[in-house]
Amino acid sequence: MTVRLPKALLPFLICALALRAAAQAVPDPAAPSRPAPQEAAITPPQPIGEPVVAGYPPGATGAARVVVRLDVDAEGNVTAAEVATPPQPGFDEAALAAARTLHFAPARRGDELIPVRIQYAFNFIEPPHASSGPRTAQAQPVNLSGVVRERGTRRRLSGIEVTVAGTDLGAVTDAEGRFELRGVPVGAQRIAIAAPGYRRFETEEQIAEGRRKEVLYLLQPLYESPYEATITGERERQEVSQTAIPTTEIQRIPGAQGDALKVVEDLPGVARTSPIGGGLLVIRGSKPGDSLVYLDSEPIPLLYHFGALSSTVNPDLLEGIEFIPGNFSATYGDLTGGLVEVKTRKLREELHGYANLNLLEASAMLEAAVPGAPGLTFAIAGRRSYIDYILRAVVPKDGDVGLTVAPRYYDAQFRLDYRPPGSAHSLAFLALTSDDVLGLLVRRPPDQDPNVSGSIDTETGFQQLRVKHGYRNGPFSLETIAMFEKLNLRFQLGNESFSLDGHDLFLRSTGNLALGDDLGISAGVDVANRRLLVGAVFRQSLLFREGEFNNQGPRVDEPLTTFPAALVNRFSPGLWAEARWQPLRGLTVTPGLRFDAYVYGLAVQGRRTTYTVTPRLSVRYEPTPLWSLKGGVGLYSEGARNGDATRPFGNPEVLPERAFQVTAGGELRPLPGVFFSVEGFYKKLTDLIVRSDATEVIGGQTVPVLLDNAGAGRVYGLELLLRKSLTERFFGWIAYTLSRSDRVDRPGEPQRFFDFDQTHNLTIIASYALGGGWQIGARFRYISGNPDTPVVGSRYAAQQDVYVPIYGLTNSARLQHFQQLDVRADKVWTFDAWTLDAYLDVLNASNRRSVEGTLYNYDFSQREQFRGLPVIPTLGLKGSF
Amino acid sequence: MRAALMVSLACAGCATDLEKQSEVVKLRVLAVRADPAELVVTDGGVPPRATFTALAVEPSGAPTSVRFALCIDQNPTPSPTLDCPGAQGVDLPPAGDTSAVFDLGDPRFLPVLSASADGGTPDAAVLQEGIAVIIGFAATAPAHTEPDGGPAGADGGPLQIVRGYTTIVVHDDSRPANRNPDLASIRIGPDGGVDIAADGTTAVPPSSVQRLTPVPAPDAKEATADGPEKLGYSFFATAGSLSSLRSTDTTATGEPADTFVDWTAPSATGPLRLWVVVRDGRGGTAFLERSISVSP
Repeated sequence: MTVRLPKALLPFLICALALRAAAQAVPDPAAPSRPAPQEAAITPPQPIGEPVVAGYPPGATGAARVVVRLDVDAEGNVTAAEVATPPQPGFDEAALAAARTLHFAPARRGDELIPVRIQYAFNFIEPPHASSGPRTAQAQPVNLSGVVRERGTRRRLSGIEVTVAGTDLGAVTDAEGRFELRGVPVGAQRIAIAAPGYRRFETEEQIAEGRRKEVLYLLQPLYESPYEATITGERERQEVSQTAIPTTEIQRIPGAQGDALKVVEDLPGVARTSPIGGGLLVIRGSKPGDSLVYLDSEPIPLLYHFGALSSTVNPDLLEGIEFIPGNFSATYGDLTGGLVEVKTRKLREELHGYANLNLLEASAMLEAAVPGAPGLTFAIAGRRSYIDYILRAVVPKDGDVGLTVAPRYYDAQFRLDYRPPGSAHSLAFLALTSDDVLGLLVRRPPDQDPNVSGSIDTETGFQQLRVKHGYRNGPFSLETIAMFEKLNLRFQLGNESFSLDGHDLFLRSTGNLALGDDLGISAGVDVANRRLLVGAVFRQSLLFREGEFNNQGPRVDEPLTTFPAALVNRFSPGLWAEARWQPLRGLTVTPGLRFDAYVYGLAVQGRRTTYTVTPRLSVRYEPTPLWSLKGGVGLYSEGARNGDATRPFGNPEVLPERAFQVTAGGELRPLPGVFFSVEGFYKKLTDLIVRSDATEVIGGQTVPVLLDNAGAGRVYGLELLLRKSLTERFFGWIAYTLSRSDRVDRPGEPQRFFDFDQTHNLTIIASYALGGGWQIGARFRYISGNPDTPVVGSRYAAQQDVYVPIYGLTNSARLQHFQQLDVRADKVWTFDAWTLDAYLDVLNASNRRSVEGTLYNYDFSQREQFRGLPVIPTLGLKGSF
Repeated sequence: MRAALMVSLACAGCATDLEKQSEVVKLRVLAVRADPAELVVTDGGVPPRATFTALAVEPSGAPTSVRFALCIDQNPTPSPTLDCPGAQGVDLPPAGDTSAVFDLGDPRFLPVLSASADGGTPDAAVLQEGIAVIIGFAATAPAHTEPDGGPAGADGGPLQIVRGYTTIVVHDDSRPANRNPDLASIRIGPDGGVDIAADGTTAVPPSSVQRLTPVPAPDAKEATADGPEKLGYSFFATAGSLSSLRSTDTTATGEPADTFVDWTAPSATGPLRLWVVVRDGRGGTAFLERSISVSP
């Protein structure tokens, strides 16, 4: 029997590894720039000054714990406070009164002071009635001192009050977690710590006359959450549409396996493209490749091992993701869809690390400060799969398909940060490497294609070296990033082959200047040069394009095209400038202008240069932190990619694709940590690069045009997001998108649906910390079925012994809707110096196998639905110290 | 692991009721052979001709006929919707129920071939490399008359119809013409097995697993500039189940491979038919039919 698998599943089949490699022959080159302040990790605010103690309410009895939400401005002042815990009369008022007197060292994003919203808890202990005397005894010597750390993570805890029971003696830990107590009475003393977010700590200390005792106290977190004071306030929103998800949430989202990028599919405007998530990135109806993922503002050439397994960058090095689905500022160029910014986090100065084991892979990470070098920190991480060992044991050696190189992947990262204390300069170095290999020997050709036999070998890998320099002096900041990238893609698939060796250079510099409270300007240059040695023997239909995603694979009877190894170059310099003007309180107007040049072709001849100038404008009106209105309009361009501008893959004459984007919407923050956003958007796509059947005469020879800019499209829709950020126990969101995306491939041809047009896309995520180290979560998704191109007949190609399908109208049918429930449970055991996290992540817990495509028999006279994943549980163990 | 899962899922998806290519349960064209396999034109010589023969089979034994035509559109990757034979083809003269003759000297064909060469005659370099000429065909047979109506023809309607196309390479005499390979026999059983008798007397037990090994003629493999030809085999049966539709003696990347496949005999007794088609990958084709009986 011949079963033809839908193209949607090809990336997960052996030959599709090669397809993907081919499709990514020339990686996306954009090297966007961003203002320097966006690059840095956020440092939470720290309480300063005299410890603030909430007075025990008169007439009250017993203990109480009151959590308050505080808005802390850029000066460290508390501008708003409200109670987050259930009403506790008397205690609530006392806590609020005390909270309003708090003062903080402001939160920072890099060197920039920023306003944030945090949680803060007051613990009330019924005072001993007999005690009296001064709260501190400054005149007496320190006879009890020590450090307070979080149990398990060993993180030093600042702002924690340590008290001596039965006295008024107390001290608050400093930024290093240290405290000192003077005049502690000699003898046995009960020491108590009632810190927000931690179990009450009590111990007994023997205080000797004339001796100082040094102690270490470990506080047990209530919910094993890394942060008690979680920053739920957004950093200043510079983009019209922007959603940030911190790693603390990402690591708990069911179905994402802690992978930051897989979470993107759960956000409004993002289409589901693969059965396991994280494959292709389709944002607001733009084709894969129109949207990019950046790591600290530089692109990553390969996001996942083997297409959609683990990501190629260790999630534990990340702070979180920022998702910008459209109308992005002039800092980004050479793309017409949306983007995802993956942010690395600030490295810890104390020794920290983890080891993680699951059924798929093992990984580990270590970070610390370099001893004797103030400001110098490093991190090193690595991961390797052990699928190869498993498959070698189970795959029969004499079957129709044998393993020659068992599938294996690895990645590693090394990072070195240098922030000299007191210096205006900072320096960061980051090295990344990733490699995937697979080798098969197909002894009997499959039914679908007699040409596919023999070696099927794939290798995909990359290495990046990044150096980043930052400088800040008053209102001026400058950030420069240089990156060298080496790419290695190759596959052999029977009589077809492809190889690519890339040596790419990126340089980007961004300057910001604040000209006052209401005006700032930014400008930058970003340059990408990709120099690729490419060789291929291939069929044109193997390089499937948008509109062909649902086709039944390349035509078996198509003649092979040979492209001897040659140097291909793509040079894309960009310049941009942007102003941020606040003419009225709460009103921010951001006009920007971007210039891009695209120079591509063979490295030695036939280069072609095109230019685009793309103005953009965004407006945000935020009269109060409670609500805001926003809007944006702009032009965008994207140079030809993946060999589209290089013969014989494409046509050097193709122009950049263009998009006109409009977004308008509003945001509401009715409660601390609760965020609601509604956005409408419209995109007009022009000059889309599409296939052409025409021929032209070049140098006296008739050659196929292959590609031209005859395509057009439009996308419009509505996005809703209701989100509760992680505070103490709960986080989650509801994301809904109503959209329509269609295309006209050539003038006069009928309008058709986009390959991933999904009318309704609903995602609901909820995660709850039960206490005792337990956390549970669920994700539910309901998504309209993708369009499908039906096969209405076939012809028998006798020389190849295969049937060639006759297609109906492109994307004129539609698959059944997708619906899935994923669940996750975590149990964290906290030990003194480390934690152990056991997790169970169950994909498709209800075992509802959704329709992923249409299967046909050999001559396309019969069809049936291809169903996706059954229930898939994943077990893992992660130990961190 | 998830990729491996997908592969296993894909295989799970294979466990469907969809009709398999190796199962012959309706009108099928299993191969088309051109004799000779290539046409060689010589300066001043007689225009060459070739006879196309379709291996058109109908499991019920219903009569089949095949019509051939030279396609007007000579795109190397022909449109599958090409109406050839039909409005977009020039019929070839029949030479039997399933055969027709393609004569380069036929004046009806010259305009078509000239049009494919941009209105002129192919230049010498093109002719030296070879021109693949597209020949369309349509096989027909009466629809089944069993109580359940049987499977419809590929295009539906009262007739079963299978449409398709093949190619034949025309080149000059700077190199010898490719020859069709030949199949000597089909062997059945382990350790090389025995030849399946041409008279249909070979019998196998029901539900038994039998190894089928095609035996090419001694001179079936020609030498080419890229080394010996690689022979690919296709296997078909009217009953039972084949482990693989295809095998090859040499993979696309040059590794030697076993050419046998395993066939599981049906549980029901009675006669059945087997076919093996061999292709040399350069247009050469041969096929062999054998009958077997399943008996306890």
